[in-house]
Amino acid sequence: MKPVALVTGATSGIGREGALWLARDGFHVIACGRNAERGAATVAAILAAGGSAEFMAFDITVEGEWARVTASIAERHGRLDALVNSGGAFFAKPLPDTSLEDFRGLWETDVESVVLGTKYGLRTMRDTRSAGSIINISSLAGLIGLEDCSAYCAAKAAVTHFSKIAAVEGGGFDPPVRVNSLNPGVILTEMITGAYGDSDAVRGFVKDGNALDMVGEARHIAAAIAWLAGPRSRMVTGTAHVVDGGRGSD
Amino acid sequence: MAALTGKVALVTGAASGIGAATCARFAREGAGVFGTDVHAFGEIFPHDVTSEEQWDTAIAACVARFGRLDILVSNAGTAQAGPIVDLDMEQFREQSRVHVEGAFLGIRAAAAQMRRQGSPASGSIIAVASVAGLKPIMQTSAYGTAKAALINLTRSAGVELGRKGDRIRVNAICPGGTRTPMTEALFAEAYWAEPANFADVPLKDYCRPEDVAEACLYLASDDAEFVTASQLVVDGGWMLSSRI
Repeated sequence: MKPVALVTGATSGIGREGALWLARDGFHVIACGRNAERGAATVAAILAAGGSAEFMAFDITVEGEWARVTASIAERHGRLDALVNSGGAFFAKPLPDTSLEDFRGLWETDVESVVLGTKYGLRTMRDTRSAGSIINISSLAGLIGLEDCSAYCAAKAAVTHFSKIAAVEGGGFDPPVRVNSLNPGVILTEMITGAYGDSDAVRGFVKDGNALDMVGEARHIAAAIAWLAGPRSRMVTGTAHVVDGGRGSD
Repeated sequence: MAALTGKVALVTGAASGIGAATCARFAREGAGVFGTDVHAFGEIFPHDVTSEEQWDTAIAACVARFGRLDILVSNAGTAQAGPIVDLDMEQFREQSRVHVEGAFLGIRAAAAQMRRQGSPASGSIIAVASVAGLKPIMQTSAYGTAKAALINLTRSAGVELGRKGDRIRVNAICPGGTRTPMTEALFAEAYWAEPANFADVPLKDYCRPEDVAEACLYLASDDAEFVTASQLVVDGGWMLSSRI
């Protein structure tokens, strides 16, 4: 029986690419998102490559939805080996112009969704006795500051630290469950082009801040997801794995 | 296709422990593997990493045998244990010499060789540091200080060797407690068999050399082509523990 991976935000960007890599590594992928059409496209791409996948539409900020989705996985598959919490949002706005409503909206999408996902992921892995791996997609912005992104930086810092605490709890399960955050630098995805546009100036910004002379792409993060998801990283838990082309050290 | 097909790796401290496991893992992935060690035997090339001349000799011998150098695993290390008030200067200096100077000489020599092979130069340099370089661990003050310096050396080199237009990646791996001949010399069989000694590790276990070798493989491979100047912690979550 194939190991099972649930990937949120699998309709675009890092989540979509991560889903493709996990399928290639032999996981049955449960791709999640709100947009059924784009979800179907992710599943079709996996099936076309010879992999195995299904789509489940749900809102990751609603607790009842997590309960429903994970109960269904436990019932139908009897295991959950990897959970990638990739769904999230982003906006850039100077702090004096950021409303409490803006802040709470991002907190709900980027933090509460991860808290719920990790809670139900841990429960499902514990109850199905799966030696699982939970990967929470945070950001370099959760470790260092980024101009005009106070809400996003605060949210991603919360995700990074929350993941460490979850790692301590998951370590006590039998078998243990691992929890890591994955902290990408600036990656050229729809999240960036949606906020800033897709111009030469934006591409220049994406590349020039890196120590390496290259643009960060979703596949770079997908490779890290695949490494953290499987037994090759057996003893890796509670870490913040930075994949940033050296941006955060520069 | 194997992950390291066509690539050549030089691994220091290759005679035992993490170095030996890394050589074996890399070889399974199709790499040409050139292992060196101060305690040389068989296929292992004699190499004192604190000697500038011996770095030149080792890299030249690796290139003579395999034609190039793509990966350096700067792994050679030496243990230290004891209270800081009893630490003598020679012990302290030995730690700095092996871990900091040894890695510095290795990074410099490997980057020079990688640059000779093409422009922009490419390659992956991995330093095996330690969790002891990120947080204090009882009675390893000299070791931990040297490992902390090693971690920042790899960060600096990672930024610099990217900024120069090269694609030479430089990363540190920070293992937690790992059972190797080096640590077995400090802690006998009974220590590793006692679960209470790992109660403060979230995964309740110690690392095997193979766990660190897997991390070396990940960082050496193109899967990590956007990873540089990072610290990859492989410790079962020990970093999170409040007990040292």
